[in-house]
Amino acid sequence: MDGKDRARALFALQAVSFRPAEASFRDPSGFLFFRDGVLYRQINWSYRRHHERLLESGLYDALVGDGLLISHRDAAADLALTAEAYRVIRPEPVGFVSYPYEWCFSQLRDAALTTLRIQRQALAHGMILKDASAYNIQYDEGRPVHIDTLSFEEYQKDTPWVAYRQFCEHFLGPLLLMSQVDIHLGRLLATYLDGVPLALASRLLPRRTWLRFSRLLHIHLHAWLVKRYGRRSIRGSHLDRSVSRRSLDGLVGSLETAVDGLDWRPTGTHWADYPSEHGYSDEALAEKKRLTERMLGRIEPKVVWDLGSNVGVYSRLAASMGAKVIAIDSDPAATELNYREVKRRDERSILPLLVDLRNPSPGLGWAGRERSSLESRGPAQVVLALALVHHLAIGGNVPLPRIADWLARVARHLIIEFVPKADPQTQRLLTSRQDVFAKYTQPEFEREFERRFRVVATEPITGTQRTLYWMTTRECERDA
Amino acid sequence: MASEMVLVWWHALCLVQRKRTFLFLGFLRSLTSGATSANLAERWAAPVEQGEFNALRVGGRLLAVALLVSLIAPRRAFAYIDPLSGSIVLQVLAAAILAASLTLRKLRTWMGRTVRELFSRFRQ
Repeated sequence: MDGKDRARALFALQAVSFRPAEASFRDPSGFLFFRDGVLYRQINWSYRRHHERLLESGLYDALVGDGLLISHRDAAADLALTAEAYRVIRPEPVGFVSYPYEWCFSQLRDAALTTLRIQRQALAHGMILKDASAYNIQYDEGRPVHIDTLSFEEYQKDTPWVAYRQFCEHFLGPLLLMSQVDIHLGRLLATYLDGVPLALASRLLPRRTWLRFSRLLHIHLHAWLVKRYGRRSIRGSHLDRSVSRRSLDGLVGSLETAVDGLDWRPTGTHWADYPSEHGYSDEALAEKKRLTERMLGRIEPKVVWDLGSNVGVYSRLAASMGAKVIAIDSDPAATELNYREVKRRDERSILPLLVDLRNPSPGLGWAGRERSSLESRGPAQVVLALALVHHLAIGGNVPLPRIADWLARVARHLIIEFVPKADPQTQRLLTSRQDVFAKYTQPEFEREFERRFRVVATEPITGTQRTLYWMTTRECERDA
Repeated sequence: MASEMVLVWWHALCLVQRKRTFLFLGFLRSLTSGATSANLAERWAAPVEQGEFNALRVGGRLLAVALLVSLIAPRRAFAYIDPLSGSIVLQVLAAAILAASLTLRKLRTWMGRTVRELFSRFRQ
């Protein structure tokens, strides 16, 4: 190996062992990075005073104690990536990173209330949130938790809350749009990563929202003033006092009331009512559960993605066997019901997410890498795809080879149910359209999937025409 | 009295326009005319004639407007995110209402608790 090759090899080694996190570059106080696969956070000298205050004021302990802030451990300072480093910490990793545009209504609402609770506690300890991004909240162990240790700064007497607009654009505006206009408007968060602009929210909201003081103030009047003042500078003006601490408490209280008063009833959609009308007999359903449980029992998975999870019947089955489950569905009502059940039962292992598999979350943000695609957050140890294929193939016109390709990329083990054309549920999909799916047959399904997977087990579901398969990818077999 | 009225007008105008230079000039003029806060208070405390009363009422209103408008110019807004001036202005404008609502809420809670305690004592 000559000198050039050695240099190239060294560079490649460094590129692998040091990697800044793609989403951590906006705040000059520090950034996240990976070293040898471990997540660290570098804190810069410019943030020293605030970080010390966070620890000394007792705010850190209080927030971690209440499960509102992710905990961290100190790490060796020589792990720092740049000379600006004051110290390096090692935050507790979050099991699965999800984004606000993948959350159902109540998840976004709970994330908003968590942010406000944190703000209230921060103020009580002489600090304040300097940002209120929805991306600072992650769902860990079934609960929303703040993940950015650098979001706190010392509260300067009588200063306004600089993150107020961000809070309204990331939380209040989208929540109002979802509850007052259409639940699907939550997807606007995928287009507007910095939050739904106040002017847009104000324009889309119905006139009746002008009659509620909190909505008038935080959205409509806010939008009007932001537009009127634009980016006109107000720095260095002559008054020492502008927003008292009491007013800030009032602002947080008003936002809490506004968010807390929002609700959405998850009814009326086809999928919300699915469990009661899915066409299985009780025996067939029990048989399907038994077969799925047996397959899962042989794999003993740690992580399961339940694709097309509906209200989470099979997610709960997998969770009861010790797996962390990501329950993915495209229906807002089904995801909402699933999340409410997770809360009601205080389930720590299930994370319901709202994702349309025909258009799964892509890489978004700066360079298309700031927010990871769903696929790049895999592969999952086990993917459950029960009663899903016919929706993708016939409901979504996705050919079987493409479905098999994608599943082979996101799964190591695949438990998949084939629903034939003769099945009443598939027939429902064909009632209003021409059957152009000549290749949607069981032999074709097996041929296409066997090209990408090895079939471990095939089990017909008694009492139905459906079949359950357990498959593994070639990579999984090689690793084994 | 008229000179004080001019001064109030001048200050209100300066605050509205947010021209600190003019404000400073106005302040100098108030010093040279002898209209200090001490003698202003003295005059306001003295018996007032009807004509002067009307002038005072208008002046008071103007002063209130000036104070309100002056609140629209907070001093600090530093962050790595852009808070946008309009958002700061809203917080300042709504500050009094939000603080008052907080006070009212606390007062209501306190009164409710007190009344409940009184009733419970009465029953005992």
